[in-house]
Amino acid sequence: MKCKNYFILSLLLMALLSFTSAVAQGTTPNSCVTAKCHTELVKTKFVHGPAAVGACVQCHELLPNETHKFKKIGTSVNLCNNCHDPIKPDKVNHAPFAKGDCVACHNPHGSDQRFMLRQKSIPQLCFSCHKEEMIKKKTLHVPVEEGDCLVCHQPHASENPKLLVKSGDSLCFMCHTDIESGLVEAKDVHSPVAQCTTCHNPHGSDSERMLSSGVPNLCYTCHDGIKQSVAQAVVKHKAVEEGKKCINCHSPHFSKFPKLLVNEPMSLCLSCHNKTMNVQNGTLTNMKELFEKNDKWHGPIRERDCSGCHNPHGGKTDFRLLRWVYPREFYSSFSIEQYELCFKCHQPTLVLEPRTTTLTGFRNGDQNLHYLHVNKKVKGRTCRACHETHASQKADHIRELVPFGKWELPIHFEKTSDGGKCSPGCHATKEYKR
Amino acid sequence: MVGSVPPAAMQLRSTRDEGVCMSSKIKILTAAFFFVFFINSAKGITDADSLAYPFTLLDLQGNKISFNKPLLAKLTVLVFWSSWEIDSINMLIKLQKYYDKYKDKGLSIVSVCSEQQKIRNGQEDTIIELIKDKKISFTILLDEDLKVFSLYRIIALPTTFLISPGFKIKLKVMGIPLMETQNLFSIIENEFEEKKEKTKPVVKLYQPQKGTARFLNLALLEFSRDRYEAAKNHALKAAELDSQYVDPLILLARISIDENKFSDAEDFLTKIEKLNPKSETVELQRLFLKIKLQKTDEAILQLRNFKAKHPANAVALAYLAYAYGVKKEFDESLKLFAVAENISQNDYIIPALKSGVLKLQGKEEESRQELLKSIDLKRKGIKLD
Repeated sequence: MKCKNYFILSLLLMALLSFTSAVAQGTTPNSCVTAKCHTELVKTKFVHGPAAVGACVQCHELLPNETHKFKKIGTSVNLCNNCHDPIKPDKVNHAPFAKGDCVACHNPHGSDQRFMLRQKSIPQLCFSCHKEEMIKKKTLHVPVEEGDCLVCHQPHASENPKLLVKSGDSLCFMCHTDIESGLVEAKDVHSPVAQCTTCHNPHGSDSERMLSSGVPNLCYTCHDGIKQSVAQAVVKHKAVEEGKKCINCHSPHFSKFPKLLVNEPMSLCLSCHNKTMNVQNGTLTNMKELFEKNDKWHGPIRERDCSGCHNPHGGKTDFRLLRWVYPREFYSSFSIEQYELCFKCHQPTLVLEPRTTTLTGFRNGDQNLHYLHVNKKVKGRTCRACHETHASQKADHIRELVPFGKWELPIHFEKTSDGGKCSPGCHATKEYKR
Repeated sequence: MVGSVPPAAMQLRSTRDEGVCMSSKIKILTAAFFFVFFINSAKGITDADSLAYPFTLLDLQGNKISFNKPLLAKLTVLVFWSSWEIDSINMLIKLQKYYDKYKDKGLSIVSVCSEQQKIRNGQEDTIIELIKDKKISFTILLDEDLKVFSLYRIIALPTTFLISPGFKIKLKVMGIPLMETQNLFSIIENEFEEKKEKTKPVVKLYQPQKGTARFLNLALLEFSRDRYEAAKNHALKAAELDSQYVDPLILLARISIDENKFSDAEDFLTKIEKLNPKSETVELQRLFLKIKLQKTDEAILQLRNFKAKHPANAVALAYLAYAYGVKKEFDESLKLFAVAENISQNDYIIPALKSGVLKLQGKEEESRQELLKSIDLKRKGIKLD
């Protein structure tokens, strides 16, 4: 190889010397490029070596019995490989390269582009064969926008499909290193991340972030259950429908929190519910403040998981995005179905058994006081009569005040080691002892 | 047998055929029960760090099973559940997966079915059917009259405890809350999985603003392919997105030096210096700039000092070697290049500068080979200092 290079180098050098001296004399002997003929061939910014030095015979030979008709010596690729190190074919080869048709893309004499490309730019060259529609999109991938197809694609051959310079996600991670490093730390990874093109169009799209379709429709292509849930929701959660929609709460790539949440679940909820909010049917409490002021929290709150009771995508009830039915009133005729929400965690026998020594601490001897209060055909007290659903300052998140219409009755509940007592407006002071 | 006693389990003792010593065992058990109850009453809760309560219940086959200290399993899961509660069933299914995976490594699971206040006729069959259907193979105990349920002060189902061999409660999870359930399974995994060191990508101390790194990476890619205009555009974009991010400025300074735009280079170096006053990169780039500006002697002197402080800095050695080369002190230059090559075989700058020196020396072919090596290394990727 070295000998061949030396030979070519010497040949070019000799040709250059001859050309230089000829130019000095105003002629270019043995060259087709003169002041009058084929001048344009060497006027480009990048001129092919043999053309620059007038060594036309490197590539052309005179046809027999002709005085000014030439042909190429050999086929395109063989001719190029006389001087250039051959490019090795790979699993995937660009069609012109596979055919050995170098001059399909490269101008053998020269051009104004690097690598003597035939068109004014790389995209123009690529789109002389490939469909340009792929880049007529609202959002383009930056390399596409910059017209640099070769950031991702090899021009000749590659071991990867679509002549990509790297396979799969490793191609994307050449630039998107933040995603790559985030994946290492993540506890939960969205499964399509294994193939970025599941959600993103690598060239561009009419949706944000080059997504193949907009959020939430893109998400719904897989998460049909959520789609149904959102569609059927009686009460709509604003977070699902406004702003970034699904991305308001979920990270599309990875997360250290469950369900790909962007933050720890309760903090995420409180990032919006940190103020009083006016909604269609009333006002939503400033939950952050409520939790800060009251330290006796309901179980799901202690587990910092609002989704235990609320469905963030939309509940099937018409009240506060609750997952299951929960009575809104102070009084209610008892039926087990009305307490569907509560009995997802708590034993229904809590209010079904008049006598118990195990089900609850709210009993007088074995008399079940939950049963006594709740399980009534007429004027059964609902959970909310005595318990603050989220948090209070009293044990077992008992309320300070009973919400009896517009009148809020102080409950005066006191817990003792073996029972307790209360003095609400509902009845005289009563004590219970287990 | 459904709900068989797991291998290497905790001290779960079947006492169906041990009538002879039952009374003494009951006495011991009762004493232990009151002792532990006393301790736990003092704490008042069955939360993490308190002791678990011993108990004896029947399993689905009618065997009396005792749950007491010491537990032989490396980690024991105690889960309270009921067949009427969907999350309970989900928890059993999830736990079964872990049981299958780790039972031979020392995970034991004991489940206490707290069905109703009294398990009534027919309910037992429902439970057996469910266990069969869900292919649950760990121990199922029936809390017939909710005594254990009450003992553990369960108020929500499922409630899951992780218990250490010393009978200490490590974790209590009520329901299947998002975070704590993840935590529960992480603890189980960490207990039995050998810790695999993930290969972490090099994390720089400064974390740029979201979306900035990709522009710098793109700029580096372009730079590696000698597309300086594109590289500059992307680096400028990165610098614009995060004005505190030094790396795009380093690249811009390097491009400016390569393009012989020395005042631009100095501007970028000054900006870097403002963000990072002790930047070694700035010091080095300035010294290289001096060589380019033909202040070679001054550069050599300072590079030697730099080398004394940072003897393993291959780029500094290459700059020094280059400076000697420019002064036509080729022996010294090539000696220093050899040291630099020994330290780093991956930095394109070393062969690039060496190529320049060899050319000055008139060694065209060797110069060309070094240049090719440099191009090859550059194409493989650029690392910023």
